[in-house]
Amino acid sequence: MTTWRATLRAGSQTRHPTLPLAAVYVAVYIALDWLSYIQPVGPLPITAWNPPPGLSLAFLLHFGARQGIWLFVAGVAAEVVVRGLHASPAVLLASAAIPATVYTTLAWALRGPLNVDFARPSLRQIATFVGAVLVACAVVAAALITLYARSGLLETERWIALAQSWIGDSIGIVVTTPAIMLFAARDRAPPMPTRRWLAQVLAVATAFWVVFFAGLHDEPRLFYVLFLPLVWIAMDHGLPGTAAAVLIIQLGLVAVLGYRAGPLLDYQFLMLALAVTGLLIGAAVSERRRIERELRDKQFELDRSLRLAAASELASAMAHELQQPLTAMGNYVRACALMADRPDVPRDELERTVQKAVEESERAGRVVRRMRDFFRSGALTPDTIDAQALALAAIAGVRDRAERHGIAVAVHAPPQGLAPIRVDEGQIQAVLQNLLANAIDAVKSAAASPAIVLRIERADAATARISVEDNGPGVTPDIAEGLFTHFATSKAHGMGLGLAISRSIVEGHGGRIWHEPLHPGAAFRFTVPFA
Amino acid sequence: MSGVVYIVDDDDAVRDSLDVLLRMRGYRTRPYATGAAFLDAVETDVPGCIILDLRMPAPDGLEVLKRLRGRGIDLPIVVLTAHGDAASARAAFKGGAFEFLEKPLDDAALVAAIEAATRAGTAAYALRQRRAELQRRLARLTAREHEVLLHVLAGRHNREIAAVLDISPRTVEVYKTKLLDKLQVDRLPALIRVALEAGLTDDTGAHKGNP
Repeated sequence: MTTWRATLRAGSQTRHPTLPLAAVYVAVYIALDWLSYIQPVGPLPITAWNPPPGLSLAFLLHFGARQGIWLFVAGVAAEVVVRGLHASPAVLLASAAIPATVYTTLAWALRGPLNVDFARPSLRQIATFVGAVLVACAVVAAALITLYARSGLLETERWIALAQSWIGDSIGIVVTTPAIMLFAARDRAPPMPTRRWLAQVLAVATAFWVVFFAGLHDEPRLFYVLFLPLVWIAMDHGLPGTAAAVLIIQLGLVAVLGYRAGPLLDYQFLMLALAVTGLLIGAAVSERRRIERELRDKQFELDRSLRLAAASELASAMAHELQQPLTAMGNYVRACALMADRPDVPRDELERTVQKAVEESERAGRVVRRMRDFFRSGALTPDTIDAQALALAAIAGVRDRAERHGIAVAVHAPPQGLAPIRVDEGQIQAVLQNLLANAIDAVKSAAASPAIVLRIERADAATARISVEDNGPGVTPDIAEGLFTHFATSKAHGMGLGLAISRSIVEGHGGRIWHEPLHPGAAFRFTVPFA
Repeated sequence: MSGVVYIVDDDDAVRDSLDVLLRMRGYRTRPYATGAAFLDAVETDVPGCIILDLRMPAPDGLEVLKRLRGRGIDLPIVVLTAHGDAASARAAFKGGAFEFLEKPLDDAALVAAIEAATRAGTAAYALRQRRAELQRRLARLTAREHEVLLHVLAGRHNREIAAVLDISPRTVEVYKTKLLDKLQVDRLPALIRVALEAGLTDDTGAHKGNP
């Protein structure tokens, strides 16, 4: 399985299985066939649980329908190895050619016109997948039963055989293929077993016990109990978790019934209903989560750019307001210089002009003060809040983005906790979001194992210190120089503007903000007062 | 330097400081706080230039520029804008601005721009004055004298003119003497230069002279 997955991961554009890989596929196919060859119809390869086509379909969905020849090879080999020469060579070849042809066509249709992609599955795609599989399996079943009946291998029970062939292949594909495809397409390691996860496993086990051991023997009357844990898992883990759970339930069912000669066929119809229901719910949950995540990302980017746009608007308005007094001041002073050289200009006119220049410098000062007040008192409404809760909320805002880039984000707080701080939550949150966004930008392309730490700690008796630390490439010394002062930067996505605003906010709280180089990475720290 | 510098800026301090500075430099200045007040007061025919702030309440600088051009006033205009406002700078140049300065002003650039603009404005004024004077002189010509002048401009000899107008070459010579007298020139080439300067062209057409 490691080789298989390694190749799937490599995922080049034109994918060809290497010969050893094709051989592995054939070997696994034979092994699956042998393992699942239980309760057959006579000597024929017709069982109510037939996972090899599921493996074949996954193989073709990944490598392309042109590899269909390997299905035929595997089919013939499995017949010979598992069942021996139970029929004439012509019948054997035909019975391998039929599923190989139909499933190759199915794989082509799923990849092509039906447009089913397990890397980004939607509810519609999963429904299409299930429908197409049921139709293809019906075609295979009808063709195979006709073949066996014509060649005299199947005298009686033709309808039972037809049903068993159809259900066996259908469930084999519906349960196996999504599990393999989703496992191969997964972008991060499966979640570590949590308590909730263990509870779900326990729930499945309990449901099993109710269905098979507590209820009436060999009667599938209580089968519906299995729906409950599966729906729970689907709601919690989406499609990948559901696919795994469905596979496990199916294997359990086969283990319990297949080898103790229970009525597997009856159960398989219920199992198919269970699998399809679970996968559809899982797909709906996954799709909704994906859309929610995309919306959140867009919102995040939007918020950030709006904040920057507002700041840049402010900066340009301020620049214009400062220009006027500076222009006037320059003119007055130059005029004074000219007057001083001219004895004919009365002294009081010179004094008047000097006074005008002074007034203009005071006007410039007022513009700057108004600006600072805007940040300071204008919108500042301090509250007494818990620093740790503030940090957790900040982390939650960027968690999705961080996870997608494989960035580990953690909050470090003193074990004994921290006294509450007194800040404007919205503004400090904006500072944290800005620092975290910068940190994500810094580490996402650079660090081998990117990590961000949001650290809260006591600075002294009156102030708390909050730091955002990353292990990215750090800040180069020439940029570090004016990091918090590049107020009039023209870059829309530069650090300058965000940090300059952050600084205004922090200083408005009576704190200070600074940058410290780490090895490797950068730390941005600021202080805020305790309540 | 006898030029008028109109200063149009809505900011009291900027306007007043430019006023003080330029008066110290020897210009005659006329400050206006709004584009409308300036447009009401501006004279069509004076030597000088205009300093115009682009960013003003309506009518803004560009609008003032447009209305000046609409009224055929071609005083050179030095436009003031905010730093880095490339879009309005381009619009101002397209609207016929003479020079373009960013605030806060660089003193040397300001002096150079106003100097050049005033010079251009004064030269244009002088040209206008001379043309007006010449036209006044042309207006004193009789219809017949005017006709003879046009033929002279077309480069015809006395005999040809005499044939076309059906008069004697000697009479043509008399008309020419009157022309020199009325247009206050002493020789024929000067007469032709003055006529051209006044905007007169040879529009009698060759067909008239060559029947």
